[in-house]
Amino acid sequence: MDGWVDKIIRVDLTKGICTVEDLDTGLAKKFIGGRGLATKILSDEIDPKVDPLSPENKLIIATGPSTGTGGLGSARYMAVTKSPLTGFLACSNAGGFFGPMLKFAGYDLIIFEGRAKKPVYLSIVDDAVELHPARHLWGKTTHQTEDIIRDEIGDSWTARETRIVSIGPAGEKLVRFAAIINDKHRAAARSGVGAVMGSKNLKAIAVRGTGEVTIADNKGFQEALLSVLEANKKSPVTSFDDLGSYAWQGTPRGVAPFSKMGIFPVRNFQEGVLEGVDKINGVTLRDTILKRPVSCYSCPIACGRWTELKADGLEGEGPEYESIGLLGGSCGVNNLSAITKANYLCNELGMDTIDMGGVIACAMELFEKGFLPEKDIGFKLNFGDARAMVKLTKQTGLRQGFGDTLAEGGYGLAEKHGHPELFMGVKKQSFSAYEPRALKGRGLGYVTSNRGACHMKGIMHFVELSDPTSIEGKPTILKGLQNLMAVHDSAGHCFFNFRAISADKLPEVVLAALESVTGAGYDKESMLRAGERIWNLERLFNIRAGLTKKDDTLPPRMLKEPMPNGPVKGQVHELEMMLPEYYQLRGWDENGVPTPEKLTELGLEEEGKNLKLAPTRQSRSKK
Amino acid sequence: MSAKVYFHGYIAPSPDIVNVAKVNGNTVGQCLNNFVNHYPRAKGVLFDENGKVREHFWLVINTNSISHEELDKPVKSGDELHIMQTICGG
Repeated sequence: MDGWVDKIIRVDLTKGICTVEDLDTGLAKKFIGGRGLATKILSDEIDPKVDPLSPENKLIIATGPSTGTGGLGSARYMAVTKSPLTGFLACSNAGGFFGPMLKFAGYDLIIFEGRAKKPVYLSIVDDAVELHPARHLWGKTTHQTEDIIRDEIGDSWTARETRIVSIGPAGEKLVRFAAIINDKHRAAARSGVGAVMGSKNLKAIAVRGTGEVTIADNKGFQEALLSVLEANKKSPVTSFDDLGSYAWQGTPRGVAPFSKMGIFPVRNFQEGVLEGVDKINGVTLRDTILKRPVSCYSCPIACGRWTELKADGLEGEGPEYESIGLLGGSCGVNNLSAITKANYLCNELGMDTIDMGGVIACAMELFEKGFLPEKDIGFKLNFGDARAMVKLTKQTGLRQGFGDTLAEGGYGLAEKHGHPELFMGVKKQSFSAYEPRALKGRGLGYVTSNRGACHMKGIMHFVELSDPTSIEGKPTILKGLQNLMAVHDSAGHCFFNFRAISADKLPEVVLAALESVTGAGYDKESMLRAGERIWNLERLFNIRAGLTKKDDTLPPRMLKEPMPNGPVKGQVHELEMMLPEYYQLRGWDENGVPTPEKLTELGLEEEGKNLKLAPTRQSRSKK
Repeated sequence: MSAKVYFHGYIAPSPDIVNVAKVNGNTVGQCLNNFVNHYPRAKGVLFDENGKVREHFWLVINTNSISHEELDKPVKSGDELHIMQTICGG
């Protein structure tokens, strides 16, 4: 088919066997690809109650039909598995060049199952798919791993064309928020997908392909591409002439205004305004450490920051807005050099910067409140201690000292010390860098995200900044955005490339991009219905894994402690007003379980079997 | 003077792929006010209850970002003024 390349690789790590299978094209159309298709396969092939770090769990690396087509931002791949951090579904994605290269090699996705007896890495060069010993790579950072694999290839051109994903020591040591890193600096970061890879003794995947991805409707594809490009070109997003632009400041452009608005995470989400925020904002980053913008495959925006810490002799990518929010604001740290160092460490050791910052911030609050003794840490741990923040990042990635405790995640830490209420996140995953008491839609988005607290699965913070504290209509908007983001993630699009497009036009533009590539016969309704189907499938997986309504909540601070100061002083989240409306809009019962009618409407009857479902409307009326 | 004012992004006030209006005004502030007269849906989005541009908007004249304190900056005929939300993420 066009868009999809119709082959999948199945790797039985226990037996050391790689097989190539045909893609089920019917399933691909129904679940689009990437996130949707991988979730469907995972749901069908594992018991959602399995131990995420056991051989019975599977890890799926999946591209979408748009990945590698040359469409704007068509760089994404997904890592889908059961999360060792949340205990629910994990679906993390990343850009860079790995995803497109997997398509060029001729594969839509890879399923890893079992566990290798000894460390291995997977090599894919077009039709040649082989496992290789990786003992010599074990213990190496992600950067070292990529360098060694490329050195072994020998020919410099071939090595350059080879794209690699790997885990660092954090993944090997099963840090619960370990990331999968590709192209050295791009991270499928959230929910501990790197730990699952580590549990399988899988160190890396190296891929080189010489094929191509065919497109169904070249003229339609060009028109879709040009319409998105034109919107970006017209906007200041891509301007290199403007030093205030996204191209120069990247995502950290949001740091200063968000602090001024009182919605930045400060000292473990106790407050929303950070003193000295200008030391870590986009302008300071641009003027002090930025060397150049960096882009992924087929992207005119170049939001990546190549930065340099001259005094330390270090270079790398980042930090991004979220990393500054959690490693910076939430830890009370306004030292850009320290945040950047910690960010580099997370990339090299292979960890999520958001959960890393979240767990350190939680530890700082526990320490300051007297719930975490200094002897457990080995040193004092006050908010604002930049040196301690960097030290703990390294300790966590290596599971050394107190880092071994932090490696269990923020919820694990807070619970161990008797105060789970001081963990700031949902479903054991840390909030990203937006204060939910002030951003009511964002808060509901955190609560209902299937992978735990997350800013990308329903991008409410793009919508509600002009009216952050109201609740009216927001469950409806959130539901629509969640469905649309499921389409983006499944198609392989980077949402950043669609940011210059208005809400009214966006579904049409996304449809044009998807349908011109696949020719699968999607229309706006069926495409958005596929997004809704994917969202519900994820919810079903989580329910089968043990999720109940009580998991759909915020920490008590967000519900009971009013914002103490700043422009949104006095706000608490109004979850009890919003959640029932959201469930109803979703077609779920009062416990958040999809109704049989909804599952039938979405073609998910099979997936809903054996679930304790609410009675149908018909059977209710009979009673 | 007349300038083109563009409003980019998800919360743009009309269903067009590019939201743009040609408006009259001698300053950035006057152009913005005339833009929201053209697109009333944009008024509460762009301005707060005190009539100030909300903190999260990014304003650009041609290819130069300007601060919210520069709304009295003069506008020349043919200038392009861009309004976009500050972008975050990562």
